[in-house]
Amino acid sequence: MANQDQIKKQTEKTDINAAQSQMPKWHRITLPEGLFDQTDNNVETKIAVEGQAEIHVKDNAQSDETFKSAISQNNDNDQNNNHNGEVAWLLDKRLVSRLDDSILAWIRQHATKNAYIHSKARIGRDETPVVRMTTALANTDSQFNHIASDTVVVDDQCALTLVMDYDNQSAMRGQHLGITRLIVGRGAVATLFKCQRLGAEDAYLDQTLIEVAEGGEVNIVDVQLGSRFRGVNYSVALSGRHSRATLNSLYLGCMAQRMDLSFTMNHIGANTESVIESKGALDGNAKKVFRGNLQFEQGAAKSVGRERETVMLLDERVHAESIPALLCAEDDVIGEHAASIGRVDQQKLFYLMSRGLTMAAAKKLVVKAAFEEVLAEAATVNLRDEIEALIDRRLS
Amino acid sequence: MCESILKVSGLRAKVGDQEILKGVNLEIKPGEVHVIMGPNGAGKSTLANVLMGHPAYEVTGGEALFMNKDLLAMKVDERARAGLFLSFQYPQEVSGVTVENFLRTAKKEVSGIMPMMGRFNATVKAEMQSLEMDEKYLARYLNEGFSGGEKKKSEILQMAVLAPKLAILDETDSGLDVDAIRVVYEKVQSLANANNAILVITHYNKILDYIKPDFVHVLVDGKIVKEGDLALANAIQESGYEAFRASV
Repeated sequence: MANQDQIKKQTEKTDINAAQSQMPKWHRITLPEGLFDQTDNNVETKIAVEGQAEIHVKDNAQSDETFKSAISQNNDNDQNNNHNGEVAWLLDKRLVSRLDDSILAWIRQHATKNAYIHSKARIGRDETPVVRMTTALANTDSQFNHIASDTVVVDDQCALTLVMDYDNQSAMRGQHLGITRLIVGRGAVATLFKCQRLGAEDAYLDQTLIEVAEGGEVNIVDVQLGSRFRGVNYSVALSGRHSRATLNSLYLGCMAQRMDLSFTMNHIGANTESVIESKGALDGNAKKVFRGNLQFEQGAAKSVGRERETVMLLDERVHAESIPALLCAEDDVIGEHAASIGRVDQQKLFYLMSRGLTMAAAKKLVVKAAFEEVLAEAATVNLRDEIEALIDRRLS
Repeated sequence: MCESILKVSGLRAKVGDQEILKGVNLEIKPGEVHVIMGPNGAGKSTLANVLMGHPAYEVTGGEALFMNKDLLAMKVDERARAGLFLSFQYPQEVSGVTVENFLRTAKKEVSGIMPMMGRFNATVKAEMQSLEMDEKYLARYLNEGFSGGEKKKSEILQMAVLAPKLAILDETDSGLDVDAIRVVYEKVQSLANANNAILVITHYNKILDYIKPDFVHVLVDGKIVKEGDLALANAIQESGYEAFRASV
């Protein structure tokens, strides 16, 4: 009897070990417990389209097929690679992944409703289509659990504006785990606006992989306001000559929020340009790590990459780390990094308070003023009021 | 009406481990203009900052009553709403907030009422005219890219709009050319009335051509060592602060 118990215990132990070894891990942030326990994808993403863009929401397999045919039209050079039949996987591998592979694999496995968005709206001929993907949870008893693996293709000489908005207004905890792949064709222009305003206890792990072909352009705005845990990664491959990318990141960290923001611009083609501009404010005992990577591959001659980071520290207890990296395999390039991490901006707050503003009002004023540029961009996709309201609420 | 606007007794304050104010006594009544003079490092700006409530300074002793209330127990914004104003030696630049917007916000906070747009703008523009400030500054971000003189004018414009009970002017003359000093201090003098008071901090007395103090105090090494009238300022002009240093 004793022996049987022992064996049973040992078996249980082995099972737990096995389960743990399969659990995705991420060494950068201690992820909240239970993040990967919930595999039900129980939040519908609403998709609204203005203008002409093809939208498919399909299961994994179908999505891959559509994706494969789309990418083969866009990437003639990669015909050979397409034969392996796992194009999405291939792209995930080719673009530098900053989330752990196990997390990517887990998302791919559990994302059941994948959106596939395709723009064939020609620049100069058609209106730029605007696609809004709203993942929101209002009053409900169930936990917000959103797992997404979406693919976006903008054809050669075409344009698309994509807004991805994550909002949890319910009292329930929630989490989002997602991958977005964006292929920008030759001479195409894509605008991607991601806005994360989940609840104060939620988790958000999101990776965006982008490839830009010759003369193509991608403009990204990433706004991080909610969630207790944030893992955000953008990897852009500037594959074609004269391709361009700009990334505007804005974040507000309050209370005990933890965030790891990782932005990579990989210059592959010649004469490519990239700009990373990150602006944030930290309050309470929030912690932030910013990783800005500018990579210049051999052949990326005459390319220019710039990154700039500005952080406002509103409390002495906050923790801000900045890890810029410049990796050059090509001589004839320009890479620039500038960071300004202020100490607690006590003087400015004191000045404003001496004019009758409360501490909270003073903080709101300096934060919103510093974010003005991105707020103006948010206005163009009708998210300004929502973002300002949340900043007000968080800094109260 | 209360007898004094500000009554400071035995005020001591330090920054870090260094004691800077070593027992300051000062009483200011309605209708009075006071000038505090003193050499560099005497603690003049510290006194201004401590009275306004700068968090870097720690009050280690003494008391300060403002309109009969315990000033030192009040938060910075509460002091402002109670009617205290500080014209900063180094006004902060606040990007993204226009002068016009800021004046209206501050007026709302201090008075508790959102000022009427049309009338308020007319008042502000009249004040700017008397300060020889171009109206275009209203649309600019607060102090951003302003010259030293424009920043100080912007401070006095705020003072004029907020109409405080007590305005402390911390070296408002520094960074101003002769013409600007005249414009700024004539404006300050014109804002003085029977119900308010002004405390001017300076280390030289050129401004006394334009502003007429009722009292002159000499602050040396964290204490007020001498009090008098205009004649005292003139004596300092003649022989400097050395004589007062000896008396510490």
